[in-house]
Amino acid sequence: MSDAKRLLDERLIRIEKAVNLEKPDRIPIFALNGPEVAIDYCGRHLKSATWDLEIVRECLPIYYQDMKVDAAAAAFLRCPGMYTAIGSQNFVPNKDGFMQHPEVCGMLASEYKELIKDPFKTLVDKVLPRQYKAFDQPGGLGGLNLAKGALSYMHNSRILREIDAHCSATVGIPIISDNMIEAPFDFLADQLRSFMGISVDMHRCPELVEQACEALFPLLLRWGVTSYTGPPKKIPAIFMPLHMPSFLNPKQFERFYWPTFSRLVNSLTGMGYTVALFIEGNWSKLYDYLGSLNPNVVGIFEYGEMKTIKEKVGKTMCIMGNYPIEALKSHSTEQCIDIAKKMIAEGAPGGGYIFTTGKSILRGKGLDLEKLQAVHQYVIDHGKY
Amino acid sequence: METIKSEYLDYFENYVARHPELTAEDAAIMADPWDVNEDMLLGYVLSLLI
Repeated sequence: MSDAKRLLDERLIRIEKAVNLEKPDRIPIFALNGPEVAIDYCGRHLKSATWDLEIVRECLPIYYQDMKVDAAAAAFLRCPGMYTAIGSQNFVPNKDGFMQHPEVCGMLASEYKELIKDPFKTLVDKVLPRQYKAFDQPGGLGGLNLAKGALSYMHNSRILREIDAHCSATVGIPIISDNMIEAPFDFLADQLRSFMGISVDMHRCPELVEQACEALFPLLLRWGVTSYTGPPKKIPAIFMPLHMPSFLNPKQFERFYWPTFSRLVNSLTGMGYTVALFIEGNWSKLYDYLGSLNPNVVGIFEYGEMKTIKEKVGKTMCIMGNYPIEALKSHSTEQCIDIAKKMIAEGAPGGGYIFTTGKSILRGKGLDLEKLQAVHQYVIDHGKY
Repeated sequence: METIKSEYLDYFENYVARHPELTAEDAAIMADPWDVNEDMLLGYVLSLLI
């Protein structure tokens, strides 16, 4: 057996035990980052890499190996070739190739009833042509551009999955989160109504917001299942970033967000999938909700007191995240390790814990990744059960 | 799992509306609206909005 295969098997067992709320041989370490930081780390140019994914194939395994991680998420990179070809308004590249997401509104408040009646048709007829100007061309050109985007999407997706397999085969990194979906309320807020639009809608037309979330629910459930590779498995998990709750008050959360979100998570875990929630912002007022979700959920926490998180949700949820990446910029190596030491002491007892950062590391610039290596080495040396 | 009712996805229902000559036996053979292409279409459209 090759070294990479042996490492892959060892790491998968380590991760699976943690996800099952058991104690592995030691605390696993997850790489919460996109390919961009790996490209920076290897001294390559991001703009070149987003157009030539061979550069990503070269850089990612080096980064994972040097950072001494046990697992990673499926490589996710927005390729400007596709987005510029279809006239994207919602994802635009900056000067060095990093994709930015401006505040956009793809659906008018007056179109709620159409969305509720036939959500897929409304996404295609109304939302896509506003967010992607190349679809809004006369004659057959709009359709041709839609096909151009689909071909590019499938092409890039295939190469990124090959890169994941390459990382597993060469440096033994298992991919533990696969396809990405959103909670219905986040899907409605992010690119249909916008942050500002949904904030007004919750006051002006609350019933329509509720009905829209219900209408979107079957699409997102179906997408979660059909874009997953093969039958339901514990690993990889279905990834779900949670955007809006930290901007909602508890009453709004309970009325608009929780019903379809909890049903989506519980439906997927009930089918045998694991769901990895990226719990963005401060959820300290909402831990009891999280603790009431059915098992087979991994929570990646951006903020919060690890001790409280462990007490509130640790009985049913595998806990990840919370390490402040700002420390890698401003603290000494010893101070960075001290933070990890405290976090491990609070999060690791009893198992069900995976070490990772609270935020996804986007870029290498400004961060001292040698400190991250030192922190990970500390977890490897002192995180044994 | 719930199917999704959509004029743009329910291939068979829309097809049969244009072809009244199709029988109930044809419907039984052709009725599954969730062939792989429609799932890929759904995934592509949603991925552009996430």
